[in-house]
Amino acid sequence: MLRIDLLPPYVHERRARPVFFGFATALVAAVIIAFVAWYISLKGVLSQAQQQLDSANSLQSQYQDYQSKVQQVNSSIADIKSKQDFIASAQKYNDSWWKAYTAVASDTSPTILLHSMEIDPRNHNLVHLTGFCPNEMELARWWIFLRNDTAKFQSVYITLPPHPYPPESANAQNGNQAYGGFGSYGPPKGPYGAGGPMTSSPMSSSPYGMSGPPGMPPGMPYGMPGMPGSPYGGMGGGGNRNNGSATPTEVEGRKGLDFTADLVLQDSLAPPATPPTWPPAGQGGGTGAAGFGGYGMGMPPGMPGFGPGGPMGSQPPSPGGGAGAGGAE
Amino acid sequence: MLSKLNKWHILGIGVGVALVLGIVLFFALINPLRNRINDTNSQIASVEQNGGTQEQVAQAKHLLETTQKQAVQAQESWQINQARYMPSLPFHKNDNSNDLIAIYALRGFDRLPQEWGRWLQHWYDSQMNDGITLLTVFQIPAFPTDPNAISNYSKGITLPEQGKSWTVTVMCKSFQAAMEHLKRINTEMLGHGMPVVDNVSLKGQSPALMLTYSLTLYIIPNSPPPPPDTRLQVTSGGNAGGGMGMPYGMGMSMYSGAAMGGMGGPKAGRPMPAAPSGAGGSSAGAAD
Repeated sequence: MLRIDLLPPYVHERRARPVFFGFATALVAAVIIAFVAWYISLKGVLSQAQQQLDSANSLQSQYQDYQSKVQQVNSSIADIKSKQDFIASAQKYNDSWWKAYTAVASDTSPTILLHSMEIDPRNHNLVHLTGFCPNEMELARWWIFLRNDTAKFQSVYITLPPHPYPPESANAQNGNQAYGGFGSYGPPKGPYGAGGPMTSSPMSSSPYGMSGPPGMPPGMPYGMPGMPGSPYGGMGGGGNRNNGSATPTEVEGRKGLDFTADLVLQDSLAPPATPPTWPPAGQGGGTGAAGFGGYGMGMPPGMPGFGPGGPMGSQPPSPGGGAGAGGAE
Repeated sequence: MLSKLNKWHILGIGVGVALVLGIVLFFALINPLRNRINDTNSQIASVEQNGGTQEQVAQAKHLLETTQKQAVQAQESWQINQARYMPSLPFHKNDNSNDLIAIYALRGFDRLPQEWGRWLQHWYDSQMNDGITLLTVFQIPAFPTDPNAISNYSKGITLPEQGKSWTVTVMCKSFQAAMEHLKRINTEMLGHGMPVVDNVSLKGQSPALMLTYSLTLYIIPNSPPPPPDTRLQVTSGGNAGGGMGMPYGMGMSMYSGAAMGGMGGPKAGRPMPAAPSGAGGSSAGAAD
């Protein structure tokens, strides 16, 4: 059976209105509840962040406390530490000298006689040597030995002195004599890359990487310098020794060659660049000029002495006791 | 009025009220809270960057422990090295006296150059058996005659004098002897300041190998000297030149060639320390 609603529509709407009111009210209430819940959750996050901040602040204060203690310790020890650092660096500096010299000396050859050995005062990596060798061959051997010791030396330069042309001794023995220099090991540095000048003759005698072109006609006034670009440098302009006994110098009756050498030490071996010094104390007033020394004539004891004056000798006091600075003992 | 609202009106009003309420609540409650949280988080980050973490605190603690250990080590090392190298200067005596004249003259501060020169000579002479022969005379300029000058030595004393060094030449019987001699400068040149060797060079051959180097002694006082005494007025004027030493004569020692310094004259207008009696001959230079 078909049911027919004969009531007007406003009757139904009136009945449905409370329902829509309820919906609207529920919507507003839901919004309020949601925001309150959000607020509460954010409050929790904030309080957690606050706790974290408090904890971080506490840690930071501990950190700052430790740091200030470190600074206190450092400042309290600064004076002593600077003194101790000076002593340590002075000890190291003093020791570096004999270590460097011993290292260089351990590479000398029994056939090479050294006249002098000096670490350059301005460049502690550079060792200047002068010496004497019986012949060019021994020097070349030593040069190769040195340049192969790359643990000690960055580079090795050996120079033979220039000789007049024609060398008297060579002429006397009917031989041409010429000596150049040994170039560097490694890239050429400074003025040492090239070999020294030579006097004459083709270079053909030395097998050690001579850089001068072979077959130079005899009588050339100057030899070719060592090849500066060669990785091993070169022995600059070694001359042909027609007579091996022709030598410019003698030591204890033995003939040989004088030479100079410059060795560039590895950094680890060289003494530190600057010697340690302790902060100076200001000098008040001038000091007396140097007095002229001389032992006294046995001045009677008890003579009053004035203040200290000039420099003095370091010898023990003479029994006579005369002279000297400042009088009384 | 209400009776005229249909369902769409009611729903629209409800949604509108909810929307407005949501906006109001967001800006009244939520936004300030979020800002506070953001501020707090940025503070946390800032604090954590500046040591507010457990790791950084542990590092700082470790650094403190390391620093304390290093400080102890430095102190111990300095005490050892001070005992090894540094002399006890006359103004260190524990009699609480600040009398500069007493320190200067009676306790022998003015005689330090003399004593140091002798000691160095003996130190080198004692190595004769090790193949070392000294070829140098140690010259030490005298200290200023003004007792107040003692206060200038608070940082240290450099011998032979500030900015200068002795050029020492010794003849060595062998290269080994020369190197041993250089080693001994650190290990056996004790009690007279820290020696510093520089510009070492070798010349010649054994047994007459010449070892040349420069030597400087740095004396670091353990405690500062007393302050200047205002009663000892200093006037202008340089020190007088040293007097002439007596020529060779009676009572010579066996050391030939020794050059004992003559004495400097007093500064004009300057009080002199009490002149002690003793074996010294006088050769006062003229005061300027």
